[in-house]
Amino acid sequence: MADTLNRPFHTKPTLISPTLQHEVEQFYAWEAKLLNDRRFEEWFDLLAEDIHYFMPIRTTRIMREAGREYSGTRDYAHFDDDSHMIRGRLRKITSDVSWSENPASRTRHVVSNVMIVDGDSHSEYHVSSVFIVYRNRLERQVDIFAGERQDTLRRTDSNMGFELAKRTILIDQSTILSNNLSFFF
Amino acid sequence: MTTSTEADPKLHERAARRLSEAGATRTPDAGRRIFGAKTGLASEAVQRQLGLDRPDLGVLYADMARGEAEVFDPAELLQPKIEAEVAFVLGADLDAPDLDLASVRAAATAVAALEIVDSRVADWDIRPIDTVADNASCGLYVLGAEPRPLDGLDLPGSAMTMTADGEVVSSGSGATCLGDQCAALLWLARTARDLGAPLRPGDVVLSGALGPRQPSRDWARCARIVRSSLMSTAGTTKGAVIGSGNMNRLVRPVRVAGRRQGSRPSAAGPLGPGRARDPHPRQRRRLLEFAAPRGMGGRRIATSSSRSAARASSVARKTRSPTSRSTLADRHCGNRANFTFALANDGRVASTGMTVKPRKEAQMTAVDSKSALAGRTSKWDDVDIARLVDEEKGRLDPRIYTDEGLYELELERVFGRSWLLMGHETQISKPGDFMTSYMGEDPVIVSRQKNGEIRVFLNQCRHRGMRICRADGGNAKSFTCSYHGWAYDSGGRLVSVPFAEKVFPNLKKEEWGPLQARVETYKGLIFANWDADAPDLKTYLGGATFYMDHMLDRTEAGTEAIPGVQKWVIPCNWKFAAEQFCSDMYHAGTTAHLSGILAGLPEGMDISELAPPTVGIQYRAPWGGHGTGFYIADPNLLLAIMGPKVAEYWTQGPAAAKASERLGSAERGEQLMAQHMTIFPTCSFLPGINTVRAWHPRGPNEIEVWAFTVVDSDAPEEMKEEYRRQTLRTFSAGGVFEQDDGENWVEIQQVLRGHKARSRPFNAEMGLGQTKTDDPVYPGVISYVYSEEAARGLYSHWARMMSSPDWATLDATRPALSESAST
Repeated sequence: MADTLNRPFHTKPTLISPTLQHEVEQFYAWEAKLLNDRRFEEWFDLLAEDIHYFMPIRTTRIMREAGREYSGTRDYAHFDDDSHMIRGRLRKITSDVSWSENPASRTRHVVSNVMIVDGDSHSEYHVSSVFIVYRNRLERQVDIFAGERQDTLRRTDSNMGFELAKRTILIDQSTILSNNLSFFF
Repeated sequence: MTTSTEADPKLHERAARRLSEAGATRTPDAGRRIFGAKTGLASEAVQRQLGLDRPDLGVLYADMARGEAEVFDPAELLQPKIEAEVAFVLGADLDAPDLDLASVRAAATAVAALEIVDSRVADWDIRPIDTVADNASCGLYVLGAEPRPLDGLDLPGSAMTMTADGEVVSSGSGATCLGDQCAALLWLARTARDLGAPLRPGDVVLSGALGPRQPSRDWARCARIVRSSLMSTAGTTKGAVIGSGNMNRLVRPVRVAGRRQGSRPSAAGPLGPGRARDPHPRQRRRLLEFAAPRGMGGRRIATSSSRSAARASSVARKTRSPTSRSTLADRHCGNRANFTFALANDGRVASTGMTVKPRKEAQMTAVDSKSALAGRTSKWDDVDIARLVDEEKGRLDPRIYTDEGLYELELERVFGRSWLLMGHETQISKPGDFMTSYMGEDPVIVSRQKNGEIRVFLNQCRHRGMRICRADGGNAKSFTCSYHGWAYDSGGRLVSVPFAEKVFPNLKKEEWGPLQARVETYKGLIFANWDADAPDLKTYLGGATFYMDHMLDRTEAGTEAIPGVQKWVIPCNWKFAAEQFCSDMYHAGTTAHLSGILAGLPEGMDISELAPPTVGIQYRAPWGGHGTGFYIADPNLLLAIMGPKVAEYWTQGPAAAKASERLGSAERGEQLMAQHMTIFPTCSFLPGINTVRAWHPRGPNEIEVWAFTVVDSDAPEEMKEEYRRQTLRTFSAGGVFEQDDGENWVEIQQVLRGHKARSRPFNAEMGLGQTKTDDPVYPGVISYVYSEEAARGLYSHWARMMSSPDWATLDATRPALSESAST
């Protein structure tokens, strides 16, 4: 599984134009801001119709079985959503009866290490970034997550510049050290 | 009480002695006949240690005497230790106002003796005052049969040797105790006289340990008085010579003793035959409690508690096994302990001995069935625990969710004795497949063997305790400890120890494998239990299997698990989770999951258009703590949770028809919706939604949820995929339903930090008195779907397990299983 996950990033990406780098990084900064400012409907608009939002389970394995570290595409996972399911999450998070997010969490997405691999079509890019998501809620609850996001971005005509077609979240935890995952990575 | 008596130690001591004596006189039955008194007199070192400055008094009972030919069973006592000493047998009254060494020496002869000392105070944690209330830690004793006149006897110069099976284990001299045994005897004679109960002919005085207690331990005691005058007023047993002054008869019966009637040795002690095996355990317990009431300085009492009078005799046996400090039984099981007492002046040897019965050797790799340590470190008495749950009124004491002492007790009495979910058979389908899991907080390896068997064993190397396997799972032929390379096969047998021939030449590998649990499965679910005395899984599940089958037995192909286990941490007590899945449809039908339902509604449809279902039932197991509930005929909630494809598969079509046939009715096969269930204590699942999980406790304030999904093995692939995606969407760490459960349980636990928050009971009254047991379709205790009856069943079973010392006691409270309806 790890091999499949890593395929676009087996080799160091060739250098791309600074403009493209800047565009993608600004897209991510804006996406993070929407999430952290709880502008969920606008964040949803950044997602493609065929969005696949996927977060496999990560396990602890001995070296000999390192290939089994991540759950497979037909295995249980933390998230495996299509557009319809994310829409349902949106309905939940924006309702006032979603107790896990009413009162809402305070989140901060720090996104870094953005690397872009030229997609075949030059309108689709494979992007790797790393994140630290800090989540604080109620009086004293603090959760910190780190990991890598492997995205497929597509150019669009909108002034966002891109839409998110696929996101695979590789979390740096096996047992999730939080009582829920009520936010988006 | 403590403060006032500590202000006046003498008051405390008198009170304790009166209690001890009063307790003694309350038991006129043969076994508890007053045999004498004894003191706790410390050697100097011990005095310093305990803060004693003088001897103390206790009471010896007839049933404490043993014959040399008898076999002593360490299980009869609480925390036994063995001591060698000289005993004096008196031939004259010692009631003169001017007693001196000469007069006591003239009155006594000396015999060799062994005493088994015991303490009613947990961990031998004795304070000075406790020696009185503890009856000076009297246990049992054996007297030798060769009395020596004291005249001309150089007791302080005598050499003492104690051996076990020929090996010397303790030695000392007569000078150890008071410098002179006769001085000890003199002190006792004077004390007894001053107390108004002077020594009489026929009395036997145990004069104190001559050497270190075997095994080498801190303090020795001297001087016990056999109160033969009390014995005579209580009557004699056949053949006993009590208080007659005939010393030869007193001591000689030891030689001819040993006639056994079946398993009961008779003519046992030198001071009377017919020493019974503690025939009145209830009285004994009352005596012990009376003699050592808890208020005395707050010392904890090492009693064997039981709520089952019917099991009194077995309860009397099932006392706490010896603590780590008392190694009598550990070292000398099956051994012959001999005490040889060589007198200095004439070189003749007086001796006595006793045989210690081998303890049922705990197989090193077998299940430990003893619930022996329960409560030792806990401040909770069984009676107090029972009061935490009021089933009749529906009240729960919030401390059950927060108290550390209760939690430690739970690890032993609930998690150490219950069937716990390990996973699904299909998660380890090939030989060598393994996964790691937990039983309570004990890490275990769950491993499929070549012959198809599943073994579950403690994930701990027996050498120095390193975790044997640190992976979540995989496939392995063996496991090697990373510390010193000890290697185990996939069944947890120790197979290789580096350099064994050279450095561990006597190591028997078969004795050093990790603890194995019992393993059983029910229709795909793997359960494990540490307790050898627990009933088998089927019996344990009882009538709950009827309801488990709604998920596990819809097709002859059975179920399989979708690969992958999601694990996450919720900072709450395990009982909130277990109770909710056991008994709480109420939260789903009201506010908790409104947003979860919303997340699954078709576009444009609003919650207000959805009426919560109202028809359904809840089941409470008549015994065992299990519970479940479901709606009947209304698919709305299942639809909102699992979507139309799953709802259709569950309610229509060939799979539903087959399920109806197997389960016996269309209602059971097609119309039960949104079922929730818990198998006590921590196996929960939602038939229909098909998420299965174990709640692993991590202290009273935290759990780990380990969740997976099961599907019918013969379901179409796209249906399995649909189950996978929908359970993931709804019941997982990010599940649109489960997110909110986490919120509730976490906040409850936070609020319970407060003192006042824990000070008043929670209301668990819902559905009180609204049950029936004669439903034509559904067995067990049935109530309306919105009820807390199943919760009352879970909590009352919890309280039952927490206050029962073992499964024998638990089984005695289970109602006789009858036909389906009442189980």
